[in-house]
Amino acid sequence: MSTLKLQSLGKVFGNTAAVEKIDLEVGEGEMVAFLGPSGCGKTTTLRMVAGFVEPSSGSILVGGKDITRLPPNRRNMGMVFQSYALFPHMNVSENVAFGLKARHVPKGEIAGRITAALELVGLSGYEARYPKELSGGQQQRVALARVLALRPQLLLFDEPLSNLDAKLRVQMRHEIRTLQQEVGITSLFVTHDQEEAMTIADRIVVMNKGRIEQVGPPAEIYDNPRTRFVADFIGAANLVEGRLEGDVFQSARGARLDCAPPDFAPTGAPVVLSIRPEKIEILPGAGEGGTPGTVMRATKLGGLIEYVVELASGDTILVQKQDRSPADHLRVGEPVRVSWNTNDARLLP
Amino acid sequence: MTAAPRRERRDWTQVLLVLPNTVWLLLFMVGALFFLFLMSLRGYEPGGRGMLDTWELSNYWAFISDPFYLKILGRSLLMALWVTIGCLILGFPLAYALSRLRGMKRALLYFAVLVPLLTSAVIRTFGWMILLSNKGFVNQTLMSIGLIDSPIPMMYRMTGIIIALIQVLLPFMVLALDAALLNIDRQIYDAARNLGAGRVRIFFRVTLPLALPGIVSGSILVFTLAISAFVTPALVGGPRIPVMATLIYQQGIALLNWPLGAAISLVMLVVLVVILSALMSIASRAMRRAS
Repeated sequence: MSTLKLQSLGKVFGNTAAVEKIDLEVGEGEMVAFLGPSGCGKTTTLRMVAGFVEPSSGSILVGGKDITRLPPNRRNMGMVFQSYALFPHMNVSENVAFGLKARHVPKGEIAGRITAALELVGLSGYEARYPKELSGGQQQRVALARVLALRPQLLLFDEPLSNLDAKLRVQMRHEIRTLQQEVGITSLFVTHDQEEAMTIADRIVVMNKGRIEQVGPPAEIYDNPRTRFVADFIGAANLVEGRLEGDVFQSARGARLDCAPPDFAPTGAPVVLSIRPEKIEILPGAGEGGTPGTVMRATKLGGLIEYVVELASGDTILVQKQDRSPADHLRVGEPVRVSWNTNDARLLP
Repeated sequence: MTAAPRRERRDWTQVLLVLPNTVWLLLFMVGALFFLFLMSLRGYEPGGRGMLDTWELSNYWAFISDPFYLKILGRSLLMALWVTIGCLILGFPLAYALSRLRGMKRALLYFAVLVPLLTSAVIRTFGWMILLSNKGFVNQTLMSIGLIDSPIPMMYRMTGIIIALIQVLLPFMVLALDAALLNIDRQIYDAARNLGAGRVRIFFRVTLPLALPGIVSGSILVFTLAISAFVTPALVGGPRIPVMATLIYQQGIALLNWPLGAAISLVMLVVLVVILSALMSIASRAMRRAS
């Protein structure tokens, strides 16, 4: 149980920077998710923390102590892998014992720590099973027990749920979250699944091209994206290119759209307006209020209906509505008006 | 009801796929062994009439009761054992490196491993004779740098045979080990390191047990090929160091004592089968958990 501090941590492979001098502080007991597309540097960052990748620059501090040069087997961290990485030739109990023996935990203590760890992940009674005899979810729980038994300072999750089927993945998310809060171990969680990051983390670090785009609690990341990348990558967003004409946003195609005042100094350079599809109100008919447009496409997505609306300017806007009644359905070709709360439309540099 | 006929058809396809090989083996392996067995039961009269029409067990008795022959059997087994051990020791690091490489580097090293197999056995063995003789390259070099005063005799010695056989058979070991090592998920090594294990512990507790299938298959391959090798023991060892293969050749071709030659061949086959099946049952017990 420790804090983690990354100080201008960077990694260069050959000529390409996989991670570009990132800074991050993780508080005690906090769960931080690294989210981003593949190749964004999230896994490299995690592997630097674990000690598998040597940083090209910067340092890693755990509990205030610099561990940048420590080999992975001398760092007190527990890592959970995408492929579970259980030892196939050892049974559950031997798998959990491996780390305890490697770290020279007194013999008398080992059996008790194995039992406690397996109890924690709900696998008591599975001691003699071999990994091949367990389901994916059970295997990942053994992997979790294996690291929890070591009482590590830090838990590192490397896409641990990606190999599980969709239903189990959702269930395991909550299990991992509950368990992590129970044991209170500071954790990093790498994932490319935004829903996963949203459910599991106290804070999300959105990464792109080796850089941190934004750090914040899930709600803030979603509601207040700071960059085009974050707005685009997290959830669905309408991103309309344009520029500011005084206080009014004008799209490149000429539509004048309502938006919140920018929280950056406008430079006259092109900006982008970002608005979530579910924040948009859509009204039938060509009456007063709102920006007029035409329904181009209507798609039912379970409990939601998604409309693509083409504005008079030619800009297209994606709108999501709860599907309450078929009577509310809008038909393709129907004239409509779209409007939104000014504060929900944010300008991004 | 619908699944049954389809299944039947698939079974037939499998039979068809296996059939040519089975016929071939029955004709030229099992059939040949049967005739060899019949021949081993024939009497033999040296010099005059040669093979007789009698049925007797005298050839087996002749082998089993003669310390000279038994010594050759022992020597052959020992030779095969040393070659296997040598291939394991030299092959493991090589296979480990090979299994870690990717792309072009892997292709190049893979090719380099296979190169010994591209030369004919006779030419390769003559090469070893040049290298290993008292005035050969190895001894000359060792003497010129002052490591030894007089040449280490390797030609017409077991040492030479073992050295040459290790070189020939190393590729089989490396390829078997490589296949096993490639099967190990790399994240397992990371996990072991992360759990606090040093390199030595990882090697003995993780790499070695998981490579066991490759160690077994490679050892069986090398052991079998070594004990039945003919050219290398014949040329490097010469008549002073007979092994089973050269003994059978001598009995069959030089002395024309086909019945004894056949009997010795079958004794060797039985010994080999017993040793290998014992080895495999031990190994499979150890591997059952892993697989």
